[in-house]
Amino acid sequence: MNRYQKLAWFNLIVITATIIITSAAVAIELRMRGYSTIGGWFVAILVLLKFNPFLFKKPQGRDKVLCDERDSFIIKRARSFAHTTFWIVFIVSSFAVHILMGMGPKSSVPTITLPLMAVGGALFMKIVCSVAILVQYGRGGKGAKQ
Amino acid sequence: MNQTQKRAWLSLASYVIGIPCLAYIFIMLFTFGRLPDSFLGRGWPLVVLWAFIVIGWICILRKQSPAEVDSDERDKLIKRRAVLIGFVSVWILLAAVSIILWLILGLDGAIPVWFLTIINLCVFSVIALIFQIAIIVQYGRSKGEKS
Repeated sequence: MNRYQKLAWFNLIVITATIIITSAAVAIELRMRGYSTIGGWFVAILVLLKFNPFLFKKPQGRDKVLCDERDSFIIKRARSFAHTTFWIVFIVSSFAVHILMGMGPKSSVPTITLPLMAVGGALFMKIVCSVAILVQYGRGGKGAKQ
Repeated sequence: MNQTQKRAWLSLASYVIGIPCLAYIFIMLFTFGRLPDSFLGRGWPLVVLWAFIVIGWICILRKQSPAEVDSDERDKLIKRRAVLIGFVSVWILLAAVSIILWLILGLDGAIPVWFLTIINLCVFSVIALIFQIAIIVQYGRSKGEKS
């Protein structure tokens, strides 16, 4: 498993864990108190994503190779795919909100919806990018060799 | 001028024609509730815009000479940089819109659902515009460096 695969797995695990823990905490809090104030703070687990460069250090030294042509091609393709998917989902979700909340002029959403959509979009992009990297390495079979 | 530049110029021209037309339609619909019975009100500008885009694409896809290449390494690098600029702009724009909304409406405020859709579509359009401008600016710069 090379560095990029490890990074992809780490991202997927952190994001999945955050979603599960936050949802569970909010659900438990809602059941016990009727409202939720603490549960949302579990989103802070996402800070772990910023520790990627320290956890998976780039190989140091002259003879060490960070990535070859194929690796950079896989990363580029995964990023491009994630970028395209992000836009499709972002625009579709804004129409979905329109359909779910009703078409009438009186239907409204809190102002926090927009930043939440942006954060959700960023997480979605990270997930898609990580999955695309893993799928491409899985197809090639090179990652398993390393 | 290569294909990437032509595409960027065509998109920019489409925006320059399209934005005033759409703005006019929106303003008329929201102010008067209906479109006026005029050339602009009957939706003809949008037909003209679509015709312009289709003709433009046909012209772009037709090669000026058989030796003309679709894109080289430099074009790819310019496109990649433009995508990166657009990507960074997405987050800056979304953050700016969210902060402005919070400042105007407060943390407990609410916005109509149709407004959210319009915001997202506007952000998308602005990013597409930034992408095209970034391409044109980069080509302009490299031309200046050469001369």
